Amino acid sequence: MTRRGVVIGLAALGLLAALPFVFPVPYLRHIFILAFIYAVVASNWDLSLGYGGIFNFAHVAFFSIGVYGYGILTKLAGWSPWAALAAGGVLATLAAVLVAIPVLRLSGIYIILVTFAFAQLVLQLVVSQSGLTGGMMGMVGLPTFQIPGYNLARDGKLGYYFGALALLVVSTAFLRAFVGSRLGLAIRALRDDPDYAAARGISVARQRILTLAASAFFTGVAGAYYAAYLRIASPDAFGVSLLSLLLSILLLGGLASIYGPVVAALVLTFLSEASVDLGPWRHIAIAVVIIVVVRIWPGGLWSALRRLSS
Amino acid sequence: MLSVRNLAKSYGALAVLRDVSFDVAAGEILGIAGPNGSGKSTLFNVLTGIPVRADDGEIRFDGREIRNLPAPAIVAAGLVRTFQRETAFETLTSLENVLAGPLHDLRMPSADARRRAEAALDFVGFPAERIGWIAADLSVFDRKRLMIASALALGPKLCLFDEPVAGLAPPEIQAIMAILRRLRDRGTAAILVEHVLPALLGVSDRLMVLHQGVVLATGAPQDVIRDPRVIDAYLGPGRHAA
Ligand SMILES: Nc1ncnc2c1ncn2[C@@H]1O[C@H](COP(=O)(O)OP(=O)(O)OP(=O)(O)O)[C@@H](O)[C@H]1O
Ligand SMILES: [Mg+2]
Repeated sequence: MTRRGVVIGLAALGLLAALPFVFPVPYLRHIFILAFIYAVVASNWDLSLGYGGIFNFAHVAFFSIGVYGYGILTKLAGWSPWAALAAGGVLATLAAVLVAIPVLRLSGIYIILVTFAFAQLVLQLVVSQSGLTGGMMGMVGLPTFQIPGYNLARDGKLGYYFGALALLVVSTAFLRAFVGSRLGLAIRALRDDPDYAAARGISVARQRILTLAASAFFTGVAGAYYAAYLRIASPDAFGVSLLSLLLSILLLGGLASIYGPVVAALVLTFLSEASVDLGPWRHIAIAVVIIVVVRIWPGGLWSALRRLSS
Repeated sequence: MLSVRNLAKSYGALAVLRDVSFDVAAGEILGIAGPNGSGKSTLFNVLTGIPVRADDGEIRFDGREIRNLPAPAIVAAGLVRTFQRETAFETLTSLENVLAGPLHDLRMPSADARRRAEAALDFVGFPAERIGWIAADLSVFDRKRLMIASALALGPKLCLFDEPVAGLAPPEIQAIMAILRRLRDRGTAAILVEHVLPALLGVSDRLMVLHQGVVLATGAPQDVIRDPRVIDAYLGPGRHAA
């Protein structure tokens, strides 16, 4: 990262940290907590989709596995919320390894089909095992995070706000370190040209497993965090609306930058809240904004910001 | 070092390689000539398993059967290829292009990988001021050198070159031929596929001619190019009387 990048990053972080004090409105915090969570999920998807070039449509399932992992472990197995938060990440990572196996020898559209089928399979499992998951009704009243003597939901969700922001910072730092590492270099090489990568000794199998596993961990943690914050686990976590929101974020932010989806998640959340008065026109208005941005800057917001600042 | 026996590859009804057998000794450069479509690139494909494998036959490399090894294992064994088209990882810098292979081997310390990559770029004479450029911005000549450097950075025992000088200007051809000669002086074996005959004859210790997937002749370059069957294959039957 350049020195200017560090300064800009710290400034943005400072703004986000000051925000809940400048505008002490719990609803605003709520919106940002969700935006931070979506930013984590979308930027992790960018690792497999944007950097890895793997058309992985199981990503939403990794999130839901975090959601339900948290619900089941805290409510039925009596785990502490913090342990269940970590377990959400671990379970999603294991699921990613499982998905990676059939994906190793496939390409393009077949990867979409297999990963999408996996997500549907997990959904069916959740809906059918109602004794465990509450079926279509989901699970409610999940335990929330406590640090000794303090409930994170107090003070107008202040604790959850900073927890989500911390999650976003750690996840983003992890993703940037990963793509900058030797493993990240191999992932980019593989995306650019799989045959040439194989001719340079790069193992498609190893890299795909690693990419999917690495993109799943914080996604699962984000799912668990989401469940702990809203105190519910419901099949909506698999829903089309979440999927389309994440795709909008990736489209608007641009692929293969990690920062792009983070910025886009915040911008989209803002837009969506600012346009509440438009009623049903809101989604259309947002879609138009996305289309205009992508028409002008095909690389999305992140490449636009880079171009404007250079 | 390399011993190929009865190698065969077909695409549907089209037999692209038939009963191909040959050897390459340690430190030797074997030249391969043959008309368009005679199966030269396909031979490189099946030797390295990228992107296809042979249907039948034996490929022994350093005493080991490698025909069914995964492609990365073949690279690790020391058999490394280049491509006919000047291939690169388009969005990576020149240095990253050469580093990608060595760095993928997690047992190699990154300082060693970097040293290897820099040595390989230096060996092919890649201009230092362009190692930070994105590969997509490089000239054809630079891309060819970059592809060779990325092969050499893997420390191959036997390197396969598929038309390394095609499409280059004469001084650039000289530069590539000089790289191949330096490589031979270093003791690295090579197979060189090339249509540019002076280049091929200039560095090959032995020459093999492929024609319609069959080995027509193998031997000392000067003998092979006078072989009547070879002349027939290139010029059409009956043209060698003169
Ligand atoms: N993937 C493929 N599917 C079908 N046929 C193929 C395939 N690849 C190569 N061929 C055919 O195999 C034959 C040999 O092709 P190959 O590329 O090996 O020839 P070559 O000797 O390298 O030719 P050139 O000198 O033009 O590079 C050609 O007839 C080609 O059309
Ligand atoms: Mg060819």
